[in-house]
Amino acid sequence: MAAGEALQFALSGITVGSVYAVVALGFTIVFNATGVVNFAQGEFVMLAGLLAVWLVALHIPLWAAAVGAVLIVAGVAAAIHALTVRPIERRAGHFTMIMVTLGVAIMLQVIAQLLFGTEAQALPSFTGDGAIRILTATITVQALWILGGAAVLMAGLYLFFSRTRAGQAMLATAENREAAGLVGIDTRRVSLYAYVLGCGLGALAGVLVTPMTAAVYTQGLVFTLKGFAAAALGGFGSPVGAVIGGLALGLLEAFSAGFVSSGYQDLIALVALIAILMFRPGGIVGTRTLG
Amino acid sequence: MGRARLVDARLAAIGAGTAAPLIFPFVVHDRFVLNIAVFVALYTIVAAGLVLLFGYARQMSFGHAGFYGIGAYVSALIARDLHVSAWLGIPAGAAAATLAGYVVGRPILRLRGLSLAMATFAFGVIANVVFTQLAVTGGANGLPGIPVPRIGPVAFDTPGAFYWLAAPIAAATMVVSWNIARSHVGRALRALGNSETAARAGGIDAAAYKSAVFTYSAGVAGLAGALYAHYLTFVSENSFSIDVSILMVVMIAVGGMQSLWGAPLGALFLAIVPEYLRQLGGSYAMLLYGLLLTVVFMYLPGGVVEAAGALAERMGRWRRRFSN
Repeated sequence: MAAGEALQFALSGITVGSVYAVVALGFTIVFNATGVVNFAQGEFVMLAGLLAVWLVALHIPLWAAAVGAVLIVAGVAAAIHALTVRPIERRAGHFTMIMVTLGVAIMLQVIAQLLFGTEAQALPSFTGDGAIRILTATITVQALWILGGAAVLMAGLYLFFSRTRAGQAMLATAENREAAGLVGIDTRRVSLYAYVLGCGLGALAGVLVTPMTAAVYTQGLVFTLKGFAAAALGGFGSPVGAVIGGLALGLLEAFSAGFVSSGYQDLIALVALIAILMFRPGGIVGTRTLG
Repeated sequence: MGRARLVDARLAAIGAGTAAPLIFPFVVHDRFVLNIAVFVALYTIVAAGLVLLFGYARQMSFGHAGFYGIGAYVSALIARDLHVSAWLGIPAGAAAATLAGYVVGRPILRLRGLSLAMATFAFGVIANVVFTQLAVTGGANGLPGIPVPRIGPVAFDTPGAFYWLAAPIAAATMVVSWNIARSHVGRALRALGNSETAARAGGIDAAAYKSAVFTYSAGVAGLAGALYAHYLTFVSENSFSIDVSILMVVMIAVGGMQSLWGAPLGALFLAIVPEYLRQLGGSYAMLLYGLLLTVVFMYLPGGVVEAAGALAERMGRWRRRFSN
C-alpha cells in the first residue's frame, strides 16, 4: 500500500467523519436534554439539503438558501417537538420513544418525497469546484468547507456550553432535571431549545455535505444510523465522544472502502457498532451505558 | 347475563375468523383480492413470531427483513440452482433463517432497550448489504426464475392456488404461536417481558428464553420469506430492505402486540392499505404508516385490538347504564 493512498483515505475519512460528528452531536444534545433518542435526526440532514437545493432553484443566493434551509428545518423541529416530543418525554419507555420518533422520520421522508421528488439533487459547491493538492493527496474546496464548518460548530458549541447561561442550563438539565428545575431552570423550555439545536445541527451538516454528496429523500435513515453509531462509538451522551466517534467512524469507512470494497463500507461500520455496543458499551471515552 | 353475552361475542368472532378464510376463496375469484389474501397469510406468519417477541418478551427487532430475506434466498437458490423441489427449498429456507436467528440472537439479546434496537437495525442493514453485494443472490438485479411449488399436475402458480398453500401454513403458525403463548414458555416470556430481573430471580433462564423466542420469530420470518420467493418467482434485495423491517414493526404495532389476534389484524392492514392507496400514489401508504406509528404509540400503545376491547367495554357499560 502506498502511503499516498493512505493519506487520501485519511483526508476523505476525516471529511465524512466530521459530518457524522456534527450529526452525532445533535443526537447527543437532544438525548441529554430530553432523554429521547431521536430517530428523525437523519431526516433533518436530508431535509435541509433538499430545501437548500429547492431555494437555490428559486434563484436565491447560495448563502441565503443555506441559511434559509437551516431556519426552516429549525421551525419544523420546533413544531415536531411540540407535537410529538413534549407529550412523551420523561414518561415514555425506550420502545415508545423509538416508535414515535421513527413514525416522525417516516412522515418526514414521505413529505420530502412528495415535495422534492425522488431524484438525488446536488447543491453547488460553496466556492467553486476546485481542489487543493496536499503532498500525494487531493482535497476538494468543499471538503475544506465541511472541515472548517464542523470545526467552527464544535468550537461554538464548546463556548455555548461553557460560557453561556443557556448552555449551562442545558447541561444542568441533562445532569439532573429535578435539581435543575429546583434552581429555577425552565426545563420545558430547555427541552425545546435542545431539540431545535440538535436538529439544527443535523440541518447544518446537511447543508455542508449536499454539495459533495447529492441529497435524496431516502438518505435520512442512513444518517440516523451513522450518527447513532458515531455517538455510541465515542461514548453515548458525551459531546467529546460524539466528535471522536464521528471521526473514527469516518476513518473506518474510508479505509474499509479503500482496502476492502466500497460496497461493504456500511457493513463494516455497522459491525463496528454492534461490536462496540456488546463489548465496550461506554464507547471510546467510556461514558455511562444505554439502558 | 352481560357476561354470557360477552363470551358469545368472542365465540362468534373466533368462528367468523376461522370460517372467513376458508369460505372466501370460493366466493371471490378476483386475482387482485386473492393476491392480497396471499400476502395477508405471509404477513400473518411473520407477525405470529413478532408478537411473541415484541409483545410477550418485550424484545425489539428492527432487522427481521434480514431473516425474511435469508429464508427467501436460501429456498430460491436451493430450488432453482440445485434443481430440487421447492418442497425441500422452503423448509431449508426456514431452517437457515432459524439458524441465523440463533447465531444473531444469542449474543445480541444480551443488549437491552435502545442498544438492542440499534444493534438489530444494524443487523438489518448488514443483511441487506450482503444480499446486494453477493454474486449468488444476483445482487441488485435480483434472482429471477424461482420454481413454482407443484404437487403432481397441480401448480401453485396463481394467487388463488397459492392461497391454499400459504393460508394453511399461516394458520398452523398461528396455532404454534398460540400453544407457545399458552404454555409455560409463554408465561416465562411474559414474566421476563414485565421484569427480566424478577423473572431471573424466579428461576427463569432469561437468556435462553429470549434467544428461543428470537430464533422462533426469525425462523417463521424465514418461512414466510421462502413462500414469498416461490410465490413471486423473483426476489431482489429491496424486498428485504430496512424499510421492510420497519413495516413489520408497523404491522404488529397497529394490530397490537399484547395478543396474538394482533398478528392477523396487522397483516390484514399491511396487505390491504397500500393496495387501495396505490391509486393516490405509492407514498401515501408510508405517510399513513408514519402517522399511525406516532399516534398509536402516543395514544394507543396497546394497538388496535386493545383499543377495540376498551371501546367495547365502554360501550357495554353505557348500554348497561341505559338499560337499567
